[in-house]
Amino acid sequence: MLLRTSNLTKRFGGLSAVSGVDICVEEGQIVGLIGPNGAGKTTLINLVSGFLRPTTGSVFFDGRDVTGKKPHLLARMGIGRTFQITPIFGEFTAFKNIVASFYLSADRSLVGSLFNTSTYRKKESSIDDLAEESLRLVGLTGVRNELARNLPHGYQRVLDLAMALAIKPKLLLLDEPVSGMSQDEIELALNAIRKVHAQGTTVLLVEHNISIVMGLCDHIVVIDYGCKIAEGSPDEVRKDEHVIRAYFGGDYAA
Amino acid sequence: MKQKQREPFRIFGIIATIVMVFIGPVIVSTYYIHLATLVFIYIMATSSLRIVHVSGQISLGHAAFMAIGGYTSAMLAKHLGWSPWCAMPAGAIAAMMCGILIGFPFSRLRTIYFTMASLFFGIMVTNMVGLAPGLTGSWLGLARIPRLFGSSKVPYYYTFLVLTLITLLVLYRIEHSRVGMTLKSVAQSHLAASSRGINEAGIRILALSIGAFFAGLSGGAYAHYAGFISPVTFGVMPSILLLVYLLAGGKRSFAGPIIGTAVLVLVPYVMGEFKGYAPYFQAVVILAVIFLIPEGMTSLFTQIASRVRERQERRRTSKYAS
Amino acid sequence: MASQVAGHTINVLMISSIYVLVALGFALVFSVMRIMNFAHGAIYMIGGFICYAFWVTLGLGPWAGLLLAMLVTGLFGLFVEKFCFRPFQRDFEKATLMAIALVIVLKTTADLTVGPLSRSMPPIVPGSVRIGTIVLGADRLTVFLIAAALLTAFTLLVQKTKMGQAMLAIAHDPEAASLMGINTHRISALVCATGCGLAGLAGGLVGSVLVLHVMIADTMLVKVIEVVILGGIGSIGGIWAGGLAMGVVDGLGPYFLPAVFSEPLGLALVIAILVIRPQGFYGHGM
Repeated sequence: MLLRTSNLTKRFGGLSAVSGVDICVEEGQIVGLIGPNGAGKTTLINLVSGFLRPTTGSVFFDGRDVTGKKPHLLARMGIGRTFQITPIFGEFTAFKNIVASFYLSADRSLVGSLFNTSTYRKKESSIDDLAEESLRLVGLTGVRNELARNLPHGYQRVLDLAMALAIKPKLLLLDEPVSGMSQDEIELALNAIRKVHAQGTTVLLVEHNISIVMGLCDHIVVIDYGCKIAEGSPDEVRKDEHVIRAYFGGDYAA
Repeated sequence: MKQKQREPFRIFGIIATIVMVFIGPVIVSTYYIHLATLVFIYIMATSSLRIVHVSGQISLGHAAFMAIGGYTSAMLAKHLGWSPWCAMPAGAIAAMMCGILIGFPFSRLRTIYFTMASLFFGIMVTNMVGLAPGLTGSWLGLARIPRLFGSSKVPYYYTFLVLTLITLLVLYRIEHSRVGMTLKSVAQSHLAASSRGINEAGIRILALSIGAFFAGLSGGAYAHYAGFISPVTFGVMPSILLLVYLLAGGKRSFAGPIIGTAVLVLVPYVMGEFKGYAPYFQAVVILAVIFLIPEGMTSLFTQIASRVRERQERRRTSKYAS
Repeated sequence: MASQVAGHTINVLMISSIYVLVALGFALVFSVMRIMNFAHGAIYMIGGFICYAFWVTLGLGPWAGLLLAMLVTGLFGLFVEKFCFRPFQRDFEKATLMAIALVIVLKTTADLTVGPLSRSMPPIVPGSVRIGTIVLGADRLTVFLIAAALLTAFTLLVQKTKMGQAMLAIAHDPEAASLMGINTHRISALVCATGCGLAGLAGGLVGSVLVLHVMIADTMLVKVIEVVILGGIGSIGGIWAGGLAMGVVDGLGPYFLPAVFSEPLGLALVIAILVIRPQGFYGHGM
């Protein structure tokens, strides 16, 4: 079990954004996290990636208790993520964005940078190659030298994905990776996600678009009002009456 | 800046250095040598502010590091008899350690609050001279600081020229390497940076301590050149002016602090008897930067350079067309 | 003995009220416009000299002097808000540069017109006041009463009137406030004008009990920042508390401690707060 949460709860003042959520993600799965607007999905992702501290409950990654650890430490342990608001390094080119994201693979010492040591040069050179490869994987080679802030929104999201891969994550958390994208961009993104998963990365993705999730994931977790209301394979979830009620209101229950 | 854009600066820089090394001191009077020496010191200080700025922190208290370096070096030399050559690096290290120390609480603050805290830090350091008046000379200042050389200005000129070149070299190297890239990443998006494994606070502390080191060095240089320092020398106004030099010169380019400092420091001196009005001119420069050239003076040069290049391109293509 | 205690008390209250008077303006401009007005200390200083000009040089007397000082600095505040700050509200660097340019211009003008000499004005109300067995200096008492009256009036204005509510709303969330129909520009202008006016008035008041000198611009700016850090920039109550704390330290320190300790005492207090509770007495998290 790669990721496990136990009774994960986050309260903001009197409001419970996430309550008592237990989820399990096995290695090699693509898990989809769905639920109506405001259900607490992004909060859950933030809790698991260290950007929010849980009020109660714990998070276990790769067997270790990582509850409350800072984001950069979780990143170093192998949790990567993308964001809904796509924070990228706007002033850098697309290529440089990825190079910058390979921070963990670089010679980070001041000495290396200052004196241009052979270790430093070797690592930077290999990072350049890896970055090129990354661009090719997600299909962004064409915009290599564009400033990231000039890229269309969909391309920025895919760039975010490529950047997340730079830390060689064991678990990739994707927060609404295709929202706001055109059909072409969605194809681009989904292809990239499939390739990434095929290479062995476990994926947990939050998404609104149910049909995409049904087509992509082998296990689905449904959240509403901060609680897990269902989970299982796409077929099981599709027929679950709690899910139907949550999305479509009471009258449509089968 | 793109590779092509940096070329004119590199060429200019090399020519300027040659001029300054070989021709300058021979033909100009002592007065100008003194000015140049001062400009070197402030270029060191402003460039050290730049590396803090590049990591996304806007500091209004940077001269405090000059104060720490300057006072430490001066006191070591004056009271403990250290040679100024040893005292200056010691001052720089003292400043760097203070940078690390205040980096811990301050580097977690968001922009505006960091700026206010840095302003407060500058004030605090200035006021601390009151604590040990015997050592620091309190508000009247510390006088008769042992100097590096005798009365001639020329050795100072060369020493500080070399010191400035070394500082610029080190800072340039850092800025254009992995460390510099990481600093710039944190400045652009702390979310993206931390989710890629970058310790945001740690990197900011690193930037602050590097900046503090070179500021401390420049403070020590000043102390052993002028022979006298007081809390006003490195107080609030100098801190603010350092930031003004940086922003007026151009925050997007490494040459920014160099040009900004050179222009604004020399302004009071070229005004001669109108020295009292010099601050007005500085204010005008600031307003010009705000309204006309927000990217600073260096952007003027790049604009001119690219326009010249455009005209060359046009001439070349029109030749082939006709 | 009782007179001494009373004297110290009035001294502390006077100093505190002046600090709060100036710090409120600074804090409000920051809360409403998100701009740090570094020129605030200079405006305080200029207000003092304007008061001197009307009071002494033109012989118009204390009340005319104070009133005109407040008016002139208030109008200047309007000008500053419209032309210096409003255009740059979104751009922190440019706004900071603008404030710096402002300080430079104000201080240089003062340097050139007034020069390095200090001036002072005679007490607003000369002599002393007797309450039972206690004798107090009337000048400090008057300054305290005027400052306190204005402070209370202003605080009540902010807390009770619709305009005050609007100010707080903008301070909380500027976009939401303007969506609710609040004219943010008018409120900003009002806040800036009032803040500067009060600072100018404070300068005049201080000039009548202490001295006026170009340097007080810097020292007051420092004090204001210390008060604001102590009290937390987000709350008026905090500024009151911070100002009082600072007033106690600066009012009593020099009498009871050797200069070596009394000077940095305020500083130490601020550092302690920064370490223990960075948001100040009443402030919210940063």
